[in-house]
Amino acid sequence: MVFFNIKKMRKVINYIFIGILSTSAITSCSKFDEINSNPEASEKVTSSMIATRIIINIANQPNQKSFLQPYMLNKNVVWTEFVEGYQYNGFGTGSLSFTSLNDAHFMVEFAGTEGLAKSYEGLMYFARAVKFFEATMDLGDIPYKEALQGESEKNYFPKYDTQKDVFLGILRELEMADKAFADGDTFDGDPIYGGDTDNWRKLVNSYALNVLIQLSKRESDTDLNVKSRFKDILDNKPIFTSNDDNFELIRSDKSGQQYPFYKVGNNFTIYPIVSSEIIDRLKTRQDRRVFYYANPSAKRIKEGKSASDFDTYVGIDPSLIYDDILDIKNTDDYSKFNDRYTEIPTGEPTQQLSYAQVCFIIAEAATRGWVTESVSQWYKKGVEASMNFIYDNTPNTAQFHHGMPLDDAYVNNYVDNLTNGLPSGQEAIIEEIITQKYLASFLQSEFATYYDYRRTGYPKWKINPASSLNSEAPNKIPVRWKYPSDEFNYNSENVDEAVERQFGGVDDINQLMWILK
Amino acid sequence: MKKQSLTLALAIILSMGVFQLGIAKGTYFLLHQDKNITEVLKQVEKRFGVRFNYESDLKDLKVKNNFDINSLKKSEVAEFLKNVTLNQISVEQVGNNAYVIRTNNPTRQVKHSGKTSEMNAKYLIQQALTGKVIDSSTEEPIVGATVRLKGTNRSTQTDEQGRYSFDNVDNDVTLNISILGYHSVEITVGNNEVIKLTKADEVLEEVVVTALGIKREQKALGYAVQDIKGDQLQKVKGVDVGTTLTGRIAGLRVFNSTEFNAMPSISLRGMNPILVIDGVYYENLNLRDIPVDNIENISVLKGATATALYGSMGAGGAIMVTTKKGLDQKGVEIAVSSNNMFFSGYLALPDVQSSYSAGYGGEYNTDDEVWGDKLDIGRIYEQWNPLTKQMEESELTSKGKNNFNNFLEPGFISNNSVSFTNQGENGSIRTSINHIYNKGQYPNTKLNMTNISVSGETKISEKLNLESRFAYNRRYAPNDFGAGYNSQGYIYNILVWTGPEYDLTQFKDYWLVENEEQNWHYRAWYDNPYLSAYEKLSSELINKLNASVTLNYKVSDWGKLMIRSGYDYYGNTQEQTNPMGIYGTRGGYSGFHNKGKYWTNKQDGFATTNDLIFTANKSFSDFTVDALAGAAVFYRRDNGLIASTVNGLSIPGFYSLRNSIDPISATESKNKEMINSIYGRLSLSWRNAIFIEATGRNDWSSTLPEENRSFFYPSVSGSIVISDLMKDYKPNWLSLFKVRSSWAVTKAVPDPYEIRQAFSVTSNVWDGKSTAAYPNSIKDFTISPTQRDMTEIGADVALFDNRLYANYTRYYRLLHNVTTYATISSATGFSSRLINTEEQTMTKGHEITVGGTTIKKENFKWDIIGNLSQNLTYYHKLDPEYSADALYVKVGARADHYVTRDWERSPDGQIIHNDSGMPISATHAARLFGYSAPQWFWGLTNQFNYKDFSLSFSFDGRIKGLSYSSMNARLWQTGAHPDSDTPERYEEVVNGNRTFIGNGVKIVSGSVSYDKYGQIISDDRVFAPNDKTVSYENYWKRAYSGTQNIWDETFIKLREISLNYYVPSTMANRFMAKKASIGITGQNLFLWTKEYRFSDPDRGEEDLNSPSMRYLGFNINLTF
Repeated sequence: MVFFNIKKMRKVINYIFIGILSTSAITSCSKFDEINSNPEASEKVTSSMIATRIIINIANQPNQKSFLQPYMLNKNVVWTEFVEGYQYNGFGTGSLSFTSLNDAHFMVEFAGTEGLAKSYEGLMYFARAVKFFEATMDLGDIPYKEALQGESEKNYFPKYDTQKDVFLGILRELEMADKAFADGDTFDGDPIYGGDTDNWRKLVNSYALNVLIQLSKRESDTDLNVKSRFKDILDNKPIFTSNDDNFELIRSDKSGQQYPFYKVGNNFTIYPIVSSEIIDRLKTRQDRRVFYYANPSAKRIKEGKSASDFDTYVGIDPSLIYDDILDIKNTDDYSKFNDRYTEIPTGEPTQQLSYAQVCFIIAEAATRGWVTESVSQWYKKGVEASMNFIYDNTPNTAQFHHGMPLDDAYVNNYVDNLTNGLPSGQEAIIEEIITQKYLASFLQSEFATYYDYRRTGYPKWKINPASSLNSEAPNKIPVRWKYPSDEFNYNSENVDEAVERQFGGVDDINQLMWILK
Repeated sequence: MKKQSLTLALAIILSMGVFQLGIAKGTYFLLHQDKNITEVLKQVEKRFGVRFNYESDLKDLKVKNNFDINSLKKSEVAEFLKNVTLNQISVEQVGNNAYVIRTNNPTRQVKHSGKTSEMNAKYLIQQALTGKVIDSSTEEPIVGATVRLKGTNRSTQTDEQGRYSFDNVDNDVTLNISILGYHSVEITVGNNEVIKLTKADEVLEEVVVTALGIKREQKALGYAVQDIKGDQLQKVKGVDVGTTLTGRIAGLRVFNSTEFNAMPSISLRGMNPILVIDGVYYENLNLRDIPVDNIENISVLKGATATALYGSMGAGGAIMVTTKKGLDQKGVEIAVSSNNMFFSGYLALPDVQSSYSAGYGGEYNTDDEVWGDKLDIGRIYEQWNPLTKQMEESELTSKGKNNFNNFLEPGFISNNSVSFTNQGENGSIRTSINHIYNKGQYPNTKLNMTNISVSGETKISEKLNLESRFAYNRRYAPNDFGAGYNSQGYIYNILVWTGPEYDLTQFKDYWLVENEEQNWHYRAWYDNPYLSAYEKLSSELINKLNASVTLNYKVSDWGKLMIRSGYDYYGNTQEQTNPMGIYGTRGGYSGFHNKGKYWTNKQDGFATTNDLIFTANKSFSDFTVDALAGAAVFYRRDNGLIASTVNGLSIPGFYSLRNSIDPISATESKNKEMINSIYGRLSLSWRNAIFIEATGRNDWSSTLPEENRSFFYPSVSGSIVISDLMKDYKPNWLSLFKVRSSWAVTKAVPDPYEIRQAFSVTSNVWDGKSTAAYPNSIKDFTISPTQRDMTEIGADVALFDNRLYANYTRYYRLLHNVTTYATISSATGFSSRLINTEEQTMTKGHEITVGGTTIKKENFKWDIIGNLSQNLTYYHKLDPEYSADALYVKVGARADHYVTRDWERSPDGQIIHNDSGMPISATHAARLFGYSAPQWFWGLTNQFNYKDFSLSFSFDGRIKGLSYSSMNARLWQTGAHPDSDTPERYEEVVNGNRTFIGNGVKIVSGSVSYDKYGQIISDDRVFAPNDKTVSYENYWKRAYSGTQNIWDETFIKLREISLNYYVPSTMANRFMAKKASIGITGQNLFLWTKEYRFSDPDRGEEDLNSPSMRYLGFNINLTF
């Protein structure tokens, strides 16, 4: 009896198992597509979510030490952790990546209305222009016409275009961006201008002025038509008119939104020292911005000097050999960053392009005779805008201005007297304009002042062959970065061709790219 | 016979007195034997867990009845048996636990395969010959055994009753009887005799566990399988059985980390093997989850052929664990085991200078670095006093030169287990409880691991058998912190970046303001190590459950059906907390936050594998067919939920998501995967000496695109036991000679969702706005699985009755059609493309095992087993588009190239310095320096048995293979390196004189140009010795990195040692035990390195590796 039951049970178990196995096998095969779709990723998103990412990508700057890297190259900062490449003009490879734009077209496709689609299209063209501009400024020739066609055209190894063609493309895309924004509606997802297309038009056109001024050595190129393009924008298009228009991210005490060099969690605050390239120029000009950029020398305060005395501020020459920098550091006679960069979570807004810079761009263009504007007016407007920006974004306490506030009275008075400081002669005026642009861009706009230096030779930064890491030309600051090694490893035919036609086959950091010739 | 025994019994009863007298006189009386040897053997088998193999005619042999089995020692078994049978038999020990017994003056001579002895044939005249073949242990008839007449072509098979018959048989006939699973015998027989065959695994232990948990005779396999018995692994019980496996199996490379709670990483022929327990593949278990005391045997299936039936999962081979189950006989057994090992010194411990303080430029400060002022020469500085908690002026002294040693705590490993086994008539149940406690070398590093396992077998009917297994694991470590450079571990904090001028023991009171500010003298990067240990916590709780049910149904004499279902579940929680005011923000599971943080990661998931397998085995004349067909369903699901406070904590010391300053961040992950399969195997053998088999498996995977979802894995293998074929010509000294060869294809599928192109969405990125991002790789929807073709050949040889044996395997594994993210120009908007690349690599390997019994004497035996392996990968074919265009990527070149940026060097290898006397960075970033994989890895185990003592120790090591010593580089960078305490440094710091000149050259004139690969095109440089005096400190701050830190990992390690004493049973009986042993054990005992300083290269990489601890302790095993 027992055995019989077991026998029966055994059969039942067999059937159950076979049943489970075969039914699950059959039903599950048809469910494979469902099994293989990730519940935590979405195939459809809103345009504004892409827009936010793209805007933050082009407007934001990295945090902590990475934030200061460009400002070491720009001689804003002396770094005392160890020998830093950029401080001593050591260049590596540049970046040639447009991955952040690979979904820009979806932003347009997913837009709900025609008007929104236009705005997102404007944003797409602008973002493309920014990315292509940054890449070509760093490297020279880059893929442009065949770029960003990895998925759509299955073009995995794009050809390189000449730098001239790239600039023509950038200028064209900025024009298209202006046109699209002109037809577009206020859009969502914009942390800078709240989706206001008028503001975006100002940005696009101001950015175009910035692109055009970089072509100063090619001002007579008939295809580029630099002068007339510049004049056309200035005369007919909206551009920045005040600091309210700045292309900048306003910081707040929220995760990921704090000032990039804010002290919390930032162990690097002990390393930076303000460069003498900044401090000495401000001291010579008796410019109060020094009290906002730097803290006084601890040694001189100890010796009884006043924090509101220009002489209490001491920069270190970033080209000194590292041993000597550390010797100075051990004497305590140097200026650290002003507390506003480390002690306030909001710091100051981080700019990519400011009204002040646009003023200096126009002043330079006027000096070069591209437009018939008043050089001194735009020059003064630039300094004024920079001072106002600093004053407006700093708590009005002695901790941050050391008793030397950039208040309206001071600024008006200082700016009124500025014309006296403007020298005569085109070259000298340009030097002064670029130098003021440099002083207005302390810890701002990443590599912009390096690009100006490379193009004009100003400000005249000290170069010390004894400390230079530019081993092949220790008397010079390199004028470009090398192409990324992935290009040589995987897109070698095209990059080799570009290197050959530009630099005679050597990917040389000391040879001039087309716009600099 | 019966009559005789009766007579004997009577005689004994009558002559008890005489017998006693006989003992006293030391003489033996043949008549006074009343016991069959079988009875004695059974007792001995039970007592020592050994097996005897003997001929059927031996079973009625009488023994003297005055033996005392209780005082018998295992080492005396052979002698004892000879004694009690009055030397009528010879006893030969085979392996550890088996003996072969033969009569000394037989009327019939049995020859075991591979053994010959003098023929002592009996002459018979007969016309017909019949007989019966039965199993020696069950006495069941053996069906289908091949019976052949030696010297003729005549053979037959045994019938349902195990009977065979021949007509017209000559005199002097010898039969050869063979069947799979039994030892073949050659026997000279009379008519109507019963011949017993012994199961193969009972004597030579030749049966191994193969794919799907099916036991096969090793000689039938055309691929490499190596197994190791549980008792070999149970001699020294550490935290991980993986450590004990180091160097034991050819081709199996184990990397042992010195870090707390770090499991050894195991690679088999350079790939990750799967873990299979009692035939069931468990996705979520690892070797750590199986207590070593539960292991009966581990069988390592090395090649893809061995695991072809596992499909994609088995591409890297398999570690097959067979757990202990019931007993050999009815009864109850309780086993208690405890192994405790204590810290007893370091094998490798970092060293630093103790002459200079923290700071830089020869001045003391607590900003950074250890390039400060000279200690112990009366220099006064303002320093933090941790006791008064204020700044005070005091002299700089080397009071903290033992900071790190003072901070370390002695490690401890305690591995304890109890098991209860009950064997009944129709089944068994075994329950075991294991607990491992491990105290790591840093404060608050503690690991508790508990395992409870139940396994049982039930014979439901004659044909139906049920096996079930259940295990629960719990692991908890309250803080798993302290290792590495980038995680800012203790070596980073104490040795590399802070100086010897403070006494760390004074900082044990680590709060200045509780939960807000630490008692510490740094304001960046470094935390009070005691605060790190007790307040920066990264805890981990792991819970795992696994269960399996196997139903075996004997369909017929030749066919069996098995249904098996395995299921494993895990639920893990990781938590991380840190107070406000910390400076080390890296490390932990997700980094720490300066304003306080609580973070948690809840993971759960399960995986299930279900098989339905039909096996058949049938012999036809000389041929035997062994076949298998099956179907399987695999499914897994993994869920994760990570939640964290954002931007700090509002209330100090309150670790909760509710205490987040910003809105919390929370993200989930869900992974699902399914594979359905059918598979089969067909094996053919001829005369049990030539074997050939083929397997096939077809999978349907959910992770592949529909058109490539179904794919097939074939395998073919064969082996020839030459020694069995050359019977009549086989030399005496040859026991076994086998050659084998195999070929298999395995395919690997992508991870779930990999072929899907979907946006990742992040919430609350900027002012509450969410973002979406498109993937950076292009997905090609036609990808097909990665394929590996494994070819292997090998040979196995055993000589002199297995006194010496060797195995050799050569394998080639071609990796092709690789599903990979091929790099494309990121100007395309994408950095890679998911494709099947044309690039192919070939992995080639050697595996050599040699073993033997060096000395075998009455009471003494010395066994040695060693192995040597190589596994290297080479480029086999390049992809015209997607292979990197670099000099070191070439067909035939090794793929494990160590490519690095170095200093610019002169043609004779000297560092080139610039005008300011500093080394110049090389123009080309990627230069080939060497190779990272070891050229060879090896292991050697010695075992000595002397009477009741057994001593075993094992060495292992690796030869060559490069890695970067982060320790060496960083110690130079910070000024803590012991070699930096030089006269030049002293001059510079104490007297302010720079006297140091970097070793190398400078360029006097000329220049060099390179092509894009970094090869010199033209070079007219003229060099002179570098003569520029520089700062010692700044020279090394720059020159610390580079190839001088790339070291050869060659090392030799004394891995384990155990000395055991098996307590005689008389003594064990006093405390009610059946068996008892005590011993001394040690792990990680001695290390020799070729180049490595400061740390143990065993782990295969160097990232400020924690000190390598030596463990010594004791071991107690009791069986009741």
